[in-house]
Amino acid sequence: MPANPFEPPQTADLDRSAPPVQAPLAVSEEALGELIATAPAARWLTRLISLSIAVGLIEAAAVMTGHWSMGVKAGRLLSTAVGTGIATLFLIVLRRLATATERLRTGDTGARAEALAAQASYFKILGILALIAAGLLILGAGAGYLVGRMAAGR
Amino acid sequence: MSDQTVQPIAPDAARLSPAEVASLRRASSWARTVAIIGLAFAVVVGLGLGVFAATSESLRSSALTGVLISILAAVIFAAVAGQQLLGYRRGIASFLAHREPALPASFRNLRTFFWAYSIYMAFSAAMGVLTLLRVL
Repeated sequence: MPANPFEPPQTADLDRSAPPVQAPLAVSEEALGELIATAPAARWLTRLISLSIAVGLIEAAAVMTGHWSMGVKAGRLLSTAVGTGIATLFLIVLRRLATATERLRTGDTGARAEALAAQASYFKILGILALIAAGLLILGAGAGYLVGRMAAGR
Repeated sequence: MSDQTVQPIAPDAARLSPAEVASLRRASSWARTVAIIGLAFAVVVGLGLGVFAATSESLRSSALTGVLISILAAVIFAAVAGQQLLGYRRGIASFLAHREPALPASFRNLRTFFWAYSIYMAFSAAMGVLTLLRVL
């Protein structure tokens, strides 16, 4: 029995919120074309990441062989190792994405799942690293603030 | 978004498998996280950089100029990337929830993000080479 006996009878479609859409999810030709068009950008990005790794390694080698303190050398070694590791992770996922989208271009529709999975992996890695970087930045800013206050109070 | 085109889904469109839908959902969720962090970074560091540039008198002759240019490039990249990733996320969410034909615009956002990232990487590599020349 309804709470208000004078309310008009409810009709299924008009008086309730819109039901969830049950139509199947499908990728249009246009969307597929746009997905394929990301391949050159992803490929260029892998080349530039490779170049960046090479520059970082040469720079680290130059610091290691130069007249720098042990602290500078150790810091440089650590930052290069971490940076190279992260860049290599991105390189692997982006290569997967670029290869899958290039296979899509040749008409291999099975590569679509691989391209979408590579996108998800890429953003997951990027997201986790962004969260870690944000945490470190906040910690660094907090530590800097505390050190500044201690120095001012002295 | 202005670059989103409303197009009917083609009759011969390929249906997405559950695994593909799950991948899109995961990508969209993580892209939103990255976008929010990127935009927050751009705002906070951009404001800090602006305050520093406004209050520092010896900025042009400072040895910090190279570092400041690198930070400025990172801020610009973070702002552009954040905006593009939000568009990417919005397009996928709209496609998954309402079956709207927003997927092409979403993938266009992804492409723009990759090009912006490429430009930033090229800039970073160039700065790395300059640093290397100074070190050598």
